[in-house]
Amino acid sequence: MTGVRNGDRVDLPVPAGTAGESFSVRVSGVSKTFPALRSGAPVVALDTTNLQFEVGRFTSVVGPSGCGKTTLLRMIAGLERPTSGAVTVAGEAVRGPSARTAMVFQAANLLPWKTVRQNVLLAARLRGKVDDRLRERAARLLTTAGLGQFVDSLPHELSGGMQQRAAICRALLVQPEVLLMDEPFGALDAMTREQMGNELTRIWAQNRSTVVFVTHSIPEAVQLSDRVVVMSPRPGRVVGDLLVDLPRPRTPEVLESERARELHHRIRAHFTNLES
Amino acid sequence: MAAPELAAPVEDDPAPEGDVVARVGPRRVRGHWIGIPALGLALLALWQLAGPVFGVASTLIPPPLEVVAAFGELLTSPIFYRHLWVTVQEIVLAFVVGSAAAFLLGVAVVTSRVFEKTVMPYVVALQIVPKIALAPLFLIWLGYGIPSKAVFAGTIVFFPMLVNTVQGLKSLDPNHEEMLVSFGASKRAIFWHGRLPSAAPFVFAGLDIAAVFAITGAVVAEFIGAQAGLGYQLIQFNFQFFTAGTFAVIVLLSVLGWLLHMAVLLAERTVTFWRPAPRRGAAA
Repeated sequence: MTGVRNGDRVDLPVPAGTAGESFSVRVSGVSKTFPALRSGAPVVALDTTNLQFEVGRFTSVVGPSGCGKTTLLRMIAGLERPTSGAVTVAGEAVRGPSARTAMVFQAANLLPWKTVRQNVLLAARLRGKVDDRLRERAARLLTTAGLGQFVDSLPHELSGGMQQRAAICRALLVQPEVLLMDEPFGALDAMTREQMGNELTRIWAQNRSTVVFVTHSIPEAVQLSDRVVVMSPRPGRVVGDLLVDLPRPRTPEVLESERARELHHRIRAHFTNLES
Repeated sequence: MAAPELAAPVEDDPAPEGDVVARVGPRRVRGHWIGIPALGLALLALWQLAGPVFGVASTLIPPPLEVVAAFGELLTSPIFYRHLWVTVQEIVLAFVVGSAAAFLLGVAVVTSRVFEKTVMPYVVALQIVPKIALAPLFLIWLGYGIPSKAVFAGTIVFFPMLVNTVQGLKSLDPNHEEMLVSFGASKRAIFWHGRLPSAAPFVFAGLDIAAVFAITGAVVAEFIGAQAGLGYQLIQFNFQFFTAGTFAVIVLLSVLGWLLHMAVLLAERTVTFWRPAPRRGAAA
């Protein structure tokens, strides 16, 4: 946060010395090329990119399809290996899925044969022991997420929004240092989406883990984030980086303020620049 | 033999958007409680009248009442229960051992790539062999008793069950698998939490086919050479032109098939509790 004027492009790389503690995720010289399919040329999903994600900050990565934002997220999650460069989480190189991160996918990906409670506990169970304290925390999380009455329901008995809330609870229960979210509200209708965004920030405010949130919705990015990274496609690269200096909570008044509109325009400008 | 059927599991109804909890069941057709027995009775009446009216000899097509009488005769003869017991043992052995072996091989094939590459081609090659042609060999190897029938029926049960198991274990949604991987699931954890439950509907579809095949296999094996069993008795009745008896045995075999099918269905509903009520008609 230091040395950055609000709304301006963040100077990268940030001076050494502050880096050690304040950055949770570092993406250094990372690129990703997918091998050619049939006759086509290899696809550069992400051009050489340097990015840092600060501890405790909610950062959104916005861009149209094919800008490499999901690829970037998957490399941080350890689900994909960079073609070049390195990703570190809390100073450790990412070599595979790590206990420091937890991912929320576009689809809720709840296992249909497990109840909501079992699904939420599963991630924690895969990473360690499930004890009474954890069970209690899971119950509290589910209640906070408005799923208190549905803990013993099966996923197919829930709406899409409720399923995604359960998926978020599942990720939060493992208390990740970095919460990675890949268009988690992309499959929901606009109303549910905004409401989910509010709930997410409310829950996030309680422990303020680092969040990397991928979306293609500018309003959503403005609504949720402390910082917005803008990416462009073919090849995927970072074209903009802004701080969202709107006060929290992000009430409708805040989001309709002059400043919010200005931020919205500035993010959009990066895309219009690309087209011209 | 029919090609092994691959029963695709019924997709779950996508839950509606918004906080509405809804469960849409299959549409009820009213009146079938009257319609089904009515149609059955009509057909039976037509059948009963076919002899006198069209002059069909009762040794060719015995009227239903004669079949009922033959059935009664069967149920009161002690020797019949010996035959029934022999065939039931053959069917259950073939069904249990055949499908269990196929399931375990299916698990091995899916868990080990080496196994899949080396063993699977032989299994497929063996499947091409018409198994009915092997039945006389089983007689030489295992004698005229129960084992030769059980083994023969077991080989018929084996393949569809194997195919269904493999297909089922591979049916885990890639997104679910990736979710498990992202939370650090080991191969073993992915198997227990993901692959195995996702295979269940396929496994039960395989068991349903296996039930029918086990009965067919046992009866056919008895045709080829046996000293006891319902298939043996059926052939004997046929030789004696006791057609009503033949029909009675056929009815009984169908009842056995139905019982086994219902047992599979019941087990399926218990095990795959997470699936909405199955929308299947009369199976096999």
